[in-house]
Amino acid sequence: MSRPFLFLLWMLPFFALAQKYTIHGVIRDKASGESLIAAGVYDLNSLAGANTNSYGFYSLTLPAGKVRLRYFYVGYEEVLLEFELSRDTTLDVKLSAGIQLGEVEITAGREESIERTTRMSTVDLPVDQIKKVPALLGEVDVLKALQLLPGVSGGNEGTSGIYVRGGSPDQNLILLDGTPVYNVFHLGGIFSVFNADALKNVTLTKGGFPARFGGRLSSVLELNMKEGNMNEFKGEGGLGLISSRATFEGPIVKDKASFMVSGRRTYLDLVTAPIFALAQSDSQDFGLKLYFYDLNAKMNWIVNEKHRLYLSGYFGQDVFGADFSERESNGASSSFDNGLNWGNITTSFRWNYSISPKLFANTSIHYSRYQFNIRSAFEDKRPPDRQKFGASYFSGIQDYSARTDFDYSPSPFHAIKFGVGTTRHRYSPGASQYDLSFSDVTIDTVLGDKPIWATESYLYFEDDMKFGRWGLNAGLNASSFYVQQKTYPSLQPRLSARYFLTDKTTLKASFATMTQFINLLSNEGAGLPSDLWLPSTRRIRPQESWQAALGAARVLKGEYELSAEAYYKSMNHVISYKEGASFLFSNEGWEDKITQGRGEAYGLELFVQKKKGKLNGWIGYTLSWNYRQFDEINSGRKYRFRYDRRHDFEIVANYELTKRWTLSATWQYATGNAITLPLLKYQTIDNTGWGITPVEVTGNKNAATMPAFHKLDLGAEYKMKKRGFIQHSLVFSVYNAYARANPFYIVTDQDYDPQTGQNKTVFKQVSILPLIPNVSYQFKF
Amino acid sequence: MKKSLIACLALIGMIFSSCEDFFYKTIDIESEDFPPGIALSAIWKFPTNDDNPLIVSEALAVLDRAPKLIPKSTLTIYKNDALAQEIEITDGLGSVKSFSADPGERVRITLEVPGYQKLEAEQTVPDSTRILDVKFTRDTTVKLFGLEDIDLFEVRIQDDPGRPNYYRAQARYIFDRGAAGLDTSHFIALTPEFANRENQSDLISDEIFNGREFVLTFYDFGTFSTDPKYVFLELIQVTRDYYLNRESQALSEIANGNPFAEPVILHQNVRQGQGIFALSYATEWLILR
Repeated sequence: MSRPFLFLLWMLPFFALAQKYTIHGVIRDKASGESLIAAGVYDLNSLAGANTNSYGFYSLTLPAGKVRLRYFYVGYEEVLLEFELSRDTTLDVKLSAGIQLGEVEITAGREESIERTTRMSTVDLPVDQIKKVPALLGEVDVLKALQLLPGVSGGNEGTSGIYVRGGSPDQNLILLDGTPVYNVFHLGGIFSVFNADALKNVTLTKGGFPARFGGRLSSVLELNMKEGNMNEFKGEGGLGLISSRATFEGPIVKDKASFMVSGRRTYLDLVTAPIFALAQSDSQDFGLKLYFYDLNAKMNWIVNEKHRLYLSGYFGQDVFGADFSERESNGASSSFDNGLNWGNITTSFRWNYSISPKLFANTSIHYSRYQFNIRSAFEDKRPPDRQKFGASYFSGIQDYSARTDFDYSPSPFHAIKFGVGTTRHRYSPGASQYDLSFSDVTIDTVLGDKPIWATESYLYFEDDMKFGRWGLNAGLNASSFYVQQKTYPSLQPRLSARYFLTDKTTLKASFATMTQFINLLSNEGAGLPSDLWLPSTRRIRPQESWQAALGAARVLKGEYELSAEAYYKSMNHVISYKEGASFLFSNEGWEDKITQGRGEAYGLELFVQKKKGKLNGWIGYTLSWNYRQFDEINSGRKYRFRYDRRHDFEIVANYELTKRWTLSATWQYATGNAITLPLLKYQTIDNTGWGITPVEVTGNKNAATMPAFHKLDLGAEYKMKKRGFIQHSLVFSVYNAYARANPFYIVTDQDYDPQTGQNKTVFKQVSILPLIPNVSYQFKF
Repeated sequence: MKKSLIACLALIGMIFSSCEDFFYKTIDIESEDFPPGIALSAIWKFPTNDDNPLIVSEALAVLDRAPKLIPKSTLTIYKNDALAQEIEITDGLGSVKSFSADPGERVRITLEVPGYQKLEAEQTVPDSTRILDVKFTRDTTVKLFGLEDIDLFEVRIQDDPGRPNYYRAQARYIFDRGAAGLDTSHFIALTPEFANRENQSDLISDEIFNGREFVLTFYDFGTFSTDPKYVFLELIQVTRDYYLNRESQALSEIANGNPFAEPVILHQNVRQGQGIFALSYATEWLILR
């Protein structure tokens, strides 16, 4: 088929637009005025339809004449409108939340049921559903809820890292209101930084990436904050065992402007302060700093029907440390102060401009900053002498970015998106500062790598097309990365397709290439937030991948959604620390510590989901393989990635027992992590060439497997009788209900053997999270 | 009230009982097949007037008892596929006497231990090094670690192109005491390109000067500060297996106990067993005082 003919075929729907008019507008929640993302509208006469974009905007072009429009959104009452279409029409629609929470669904594409959407490997997770999943210490955690989906694994037990289809955490692009968030953990990964009360929607894309996404190999996680209630002042919050939180929202000018502010803080330091106070004496002080906080804020202003502005921000910090000081009667004193802290700041300003009924634009500017710092200081004063030693290590990343995205809907058969953007990155790869003073010597110096500036730019085009039984999303992302006087260009084609076998069954396929210009050096030996974000440089080439997936989706009895997807992902230039390399307090350049290699992951994901009814939930299963290969690691041999988990199985169930009681449970099973352990030992020649020394030998890297991980979490919510305007409720949860000792890490140790009367080497498993009950109080008005 | 109290106490009891032996317990680990056997360690230098050492040890699972040296084994040495020597080794410690090989010659060894598969390993003797010049300075103005009388060696070499080469250096001091005094202390690299290496083993790869003329700088602490009659520099080329084994062992020692360090895989090259067979070839340069 010749190229001109193909072009004409593609253009045909555009020519067919004569004598048609466009209906456009925004679909909102009636009570709060929040715009609804991915809500649907279609004409019952022509069956042509459209969905809202991330700002609630939709555009639907129909033939002139009588139209019957059905507006719908999951959990909301439908709205039907009939009128004579004789000109372009602006139609803002408000939907009422009319369906019980028990019927809230988790589905791939809320606007279209799983068998209808062209996109695959995408999951929308309603925030209400996330809040119902039993949580560790009652702290609702978005990322841990995502770990319960097929194709998504967690890292160590209790941590919030997500590993998507064999990728590493740095290969996930995590966007909060469109701004990248680099470190998404509190307390070393126990909790994520996302406060569910402040969120409006959560969408995870695992593959088949549309062209508008770029910069990461494995997934895109989009989180949008609530805009703020346009109609009335609302609030919600809770008191838990380790933290409290509160969210308030309301109109600044009714139906014109609104705000939302949400905060959370842990208070272990405050709880333990009196205990330390009791332990202190006149000559000794001891202090513990152990807390984190989050603050989310957002404002939006509808300037007029064409323009809308948003300003949002996130501020979070972890502080962890201890200090001690001692005073002697002779005037001498000594003190030490150790600690680490890390945190993110993100801000975004966005301008929506409805240029025409068919063309919508969003222009935004973003700022993101992540900083990590470890410090250790010791001081000893014995007049007239004074000795001081201080060392600190710090690293971080800052982004300044701007982008413009367009949504163009020429016909119901094409939904075109295109845009352009650029980001200026400032990487601080890690530096150590030493501050020493003793006798007559004083040293104050900074050692380490200088900041690196880089510019990432991109433009993209994609078209979501529908032709009879076929649906096709095709696009191209063109990006470049300029660093150290070198430019890395990248062209990344994307393609997703679906075909209706029957009305209820669809076959899907996708292919996507991705390029990643940023690297996360994450140490496998440490559980600390020792993450270093680093760019591609003249020496370090960008990571690249291609992923192909094939799947099927079917709806059974209108209640059960079934999907199966097989995928293969090939990765090139992925990075890792070299064997023995250590990131901390070393003067060696970071580029000398790392090596680049290859990776591959493949597997099968099965997902069965019941969306409605008193009992709802899902079952997910993943069968997967995941490998890495580096010339300088494991003698160049291919080895299992640390999170190579052959089996991963999850059940999530919610049951509305009565109007007051809702019960929930999750059960997970996963193959244990791959680890490197010494397996053999023998005597060999020492470094002098003549002595004898014992040596321990590991097999292949990650040749050993930790015991399997499994646990049951239970939860229950009791809604108390409403008093006044406040709805009170109690949330009970039991983490790890049957107290499974899941491995956190493994060490070798010596145990006494009564049979031989001697010590023997054993493997010891360290577990950290036993059965943990929790009760928390919540309020909402 | 009484029932609630009992329920609370039962719950607390359940929580605490669930924690017994929870946080730290002995486990079995599933791992790839890595059977116990025999380990052979033979790191030899040519040409030499000394014996080259050999150790034959049990290789046991890490959870087993301490490995012992093998009481009896037989080592056979082949040079360019021709039988060169057969040595009976007792108590696991052997020394290979009067065997030498020249650059480019292939040396294959086999080790027979009753009840085990025959172990095998092979190496090609590295080339001699083209030393173009050696500058020796006993410089009291150089201060390192508070020591004086630092012996600096600046060795200009022509690296052999086309393949990776690996080097180490030693100094030999001959004193006029009637008999020769000997010091074979290992040098520490001062060559700037290697000064910040993480591993700190005494080996250098030609990665950054492959095929070029290059000046390697070393120092010795000048421990033998009494006037030697002669000073020799030995620049030793080692095989890739030698380099990787020593590097990984040095890295392993540094990384051991460091929670921020990546695990290290010890490099080995002995077939049907564990261990290392590695060769080196020394080129000597006489420095007259």
